[in-house]
Amino acid sequence: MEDLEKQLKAALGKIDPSPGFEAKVVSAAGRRSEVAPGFGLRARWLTAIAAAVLVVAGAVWQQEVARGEAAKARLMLALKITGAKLQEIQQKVDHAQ
Amino acid sequence: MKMFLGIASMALLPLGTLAAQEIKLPANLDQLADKAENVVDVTLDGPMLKLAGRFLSDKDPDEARAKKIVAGLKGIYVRSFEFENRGEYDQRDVDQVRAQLKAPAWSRIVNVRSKRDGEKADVYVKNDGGTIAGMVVLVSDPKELTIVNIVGQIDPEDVRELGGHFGIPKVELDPGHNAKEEER
Repeated sequence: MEDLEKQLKAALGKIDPSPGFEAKVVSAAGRRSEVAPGFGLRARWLTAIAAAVLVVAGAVWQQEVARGEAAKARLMLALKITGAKLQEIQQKVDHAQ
Repeated sequence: MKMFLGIASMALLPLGTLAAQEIKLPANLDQLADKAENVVDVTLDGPMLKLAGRFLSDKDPDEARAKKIVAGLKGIYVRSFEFENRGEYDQRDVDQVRAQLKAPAWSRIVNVRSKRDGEKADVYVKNDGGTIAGMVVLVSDPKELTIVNIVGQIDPEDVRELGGHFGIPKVELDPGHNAKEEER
């Protein structure tokens, strides 16, 4: 029991910091404050670039969709005209028989 | 009808593999747009056809059929002009197109002439080893001119579907039946 008390006293007793401890703490805190703004700036740039890429990709996709829909409309028109002309020709052939 | 069948079947006779060949439309045709009352000008080359094909739905029957037809095609070119007055285009321009459609590469499967109305209609197909590798439709009357040029492999079944699905009768292609070309 006495041993335990001695151990507790030793563990909880006041210990003076080693020389230069304060300087180390201040230095470490300074380093942290230097890293944070750089990282934030990079993150903001990355976010901005990602957003720009998304906007450009969206615009390109929209343009592609518009081109595709226009091409589809022209294709359907071409097929319908071809079909209509074949119909006319077939009617003439049938009529002649 | 039987005549049409047979005529079409003649075009399917194996004539060996022929090099891809496209027709050139006379430059004068583009100038006709200024004179014409109504103009349709459709130019869809390979990349545009592929793009259009990607936007065709499988759920819509018309689009699904069109998608199937387009799969083997390299280009579709349509020029159609309607004029207010007779004789506003030069028949020689049409003859220039017709002159390019010669045997053995091309076969005229239908030739309709009406002296009374001044109408002319021709359907040519390009033969490639027993399959149709292209089709040209020329329809002209004094107030209208239409030229359709379809480049690429068209299966007879596709032609049948093309004919039967866009509100027009089916173009029957029976390889076992021959008949003579008709002229009026």
